[in-house]
Amino acid sequence: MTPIKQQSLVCIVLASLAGLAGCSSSNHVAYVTLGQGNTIAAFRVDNHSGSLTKIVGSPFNAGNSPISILVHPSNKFVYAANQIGNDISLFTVDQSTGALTEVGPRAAAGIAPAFLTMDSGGHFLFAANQASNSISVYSIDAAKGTLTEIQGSPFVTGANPVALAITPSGKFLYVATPNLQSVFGYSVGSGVLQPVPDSPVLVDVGPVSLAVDPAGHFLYVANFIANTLSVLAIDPNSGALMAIAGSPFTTCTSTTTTCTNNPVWVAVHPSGKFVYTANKGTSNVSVFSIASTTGVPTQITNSPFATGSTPVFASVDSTGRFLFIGNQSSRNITGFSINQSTGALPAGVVGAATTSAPTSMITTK
Amino acid sequence: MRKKRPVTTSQAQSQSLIQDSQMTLIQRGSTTAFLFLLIGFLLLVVGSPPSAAQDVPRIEVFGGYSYLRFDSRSFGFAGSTNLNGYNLAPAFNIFHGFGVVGELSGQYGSHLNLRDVAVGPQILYPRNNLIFFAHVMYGDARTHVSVGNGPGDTARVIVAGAGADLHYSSRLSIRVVQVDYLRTSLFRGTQNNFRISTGLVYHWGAIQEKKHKVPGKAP
Repeated sequence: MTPIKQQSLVCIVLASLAGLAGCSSSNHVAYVTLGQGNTIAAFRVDNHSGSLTKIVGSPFNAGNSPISILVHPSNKFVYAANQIGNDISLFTVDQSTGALTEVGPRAAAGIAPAFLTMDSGGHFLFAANQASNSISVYSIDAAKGTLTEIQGSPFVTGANPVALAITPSGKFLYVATPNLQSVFGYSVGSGVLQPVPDSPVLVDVGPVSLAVDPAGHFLYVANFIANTLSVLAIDPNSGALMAIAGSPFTTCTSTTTTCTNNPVWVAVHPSGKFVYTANKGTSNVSVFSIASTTGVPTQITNSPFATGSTPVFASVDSTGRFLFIGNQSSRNITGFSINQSTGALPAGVVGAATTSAPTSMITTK
Repeated sequence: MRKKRPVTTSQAQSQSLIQDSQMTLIQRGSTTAFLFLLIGFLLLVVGSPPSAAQDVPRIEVFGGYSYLRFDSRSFGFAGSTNLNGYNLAPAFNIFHGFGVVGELSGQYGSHLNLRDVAVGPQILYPRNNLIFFAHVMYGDARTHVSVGNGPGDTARVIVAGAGADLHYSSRLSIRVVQVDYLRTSLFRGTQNNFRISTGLVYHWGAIQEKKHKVPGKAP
């Protein structure tokens, strides 16, 4: 064989071998609103380790004081509520870099939109307007992501609405109103809100955060001032709420039945087996195992787990493998790997520092 | 001086096949390909039969196309990024098998670009109508990212690579392929990048291989 032929043969063989070696993507993106900086930070989340890698070019410019953020189920669009701007920003997501590009104009909201939620199909977006005591409802253009406020919106609700939760079916929407110590319930028909029977339901002092389990059976309410967790059963037909036996449950440990841990955020694991509360008063996170039939939360051994200073939100990663806590005073994100059988959180590590206090977080699928 | 060797049909087909192989690698975008190619060149050098001594140029300048598989995962991107650009590399050969090479290289993509300037030693190994080479260079790399506020960064770069030049005429060779590994540390991360280049080499002068006397033989 001549040297030239030999060279060609080797190159062809090598190229063929190289073609067999593929690369696969094993990560997704987390977006964090930075209200004081009017920006949104973006991080790549490693599916295996949970480590956060800041996307070069981040943080991205946003509206005036972004406070709540959502990702459309298509992963193509991101929405942020601008609390001072009184509007909602739409961003397109660059799939290769994760970069956000805002698409104007911003959708007008009520006064001080504080919280966003969306149905699982990505058809409607709901905004709680904290200072105008209303819920703005928008239909979402699936192709462009643009928001169009539906007829009849905004819908009047209780005073000072600060948090929303929607059932997986998209049929019922719940609103936390701390001034009234209540949760309002609405049925959702083509985006139009109608009160559910017996709404509002009295919970405990200072309800500030809501979460629905994946099966849509229970609504969990974090009561900031009472230091408790209310659990309400959801009527699958009417959406009416009824407190389960024993509710509300203390978020303190059994050995310290009185405390001021100030649960500020509640999150349910995608498996429905665990509930987490971020405790702003004691800078830790409580973990509860959930009885699947009754919804009763039981704090697990070794709970609570230490976080950064003054946590303000808890976000379970879309994979269910990691829990991220946003820390207001220490201006960072604490990342935990979740024990999938017990829900326990091995020692948290600082996932990422942020340029200003983080206010909310969401991860893409 | 070396004699001019016409490019035969067989050689042209071989070059075509090699270039086809390179295109396959580019389309696949697999960094593993570069490692295979690097190993392949070592095998070729070892496997080639010895031949008569061949001159190497005193001065040569390479210019051509380059493709870079940039390790942008450390930038938070979903994966590596394909960049295309140029590679310009002058070299001065001090001895028959040793010289100094420098490079000015730039590759560009929609989200980022990378340029580098580096210099270092290079060894040469002529075999038949091919000259194999390997080099290590050290210098600076500059990147600009077209994402968000469009940041840029400059950091050290280490380049290690090898390749082969196919003799075409007294002044011209074809760089069949050059494969390089570039290690950069941009934006406080570490990037392991791979580059493949091809193009033309223009050369001047020649260095002959020194003949060794065989003891016991009459002149």
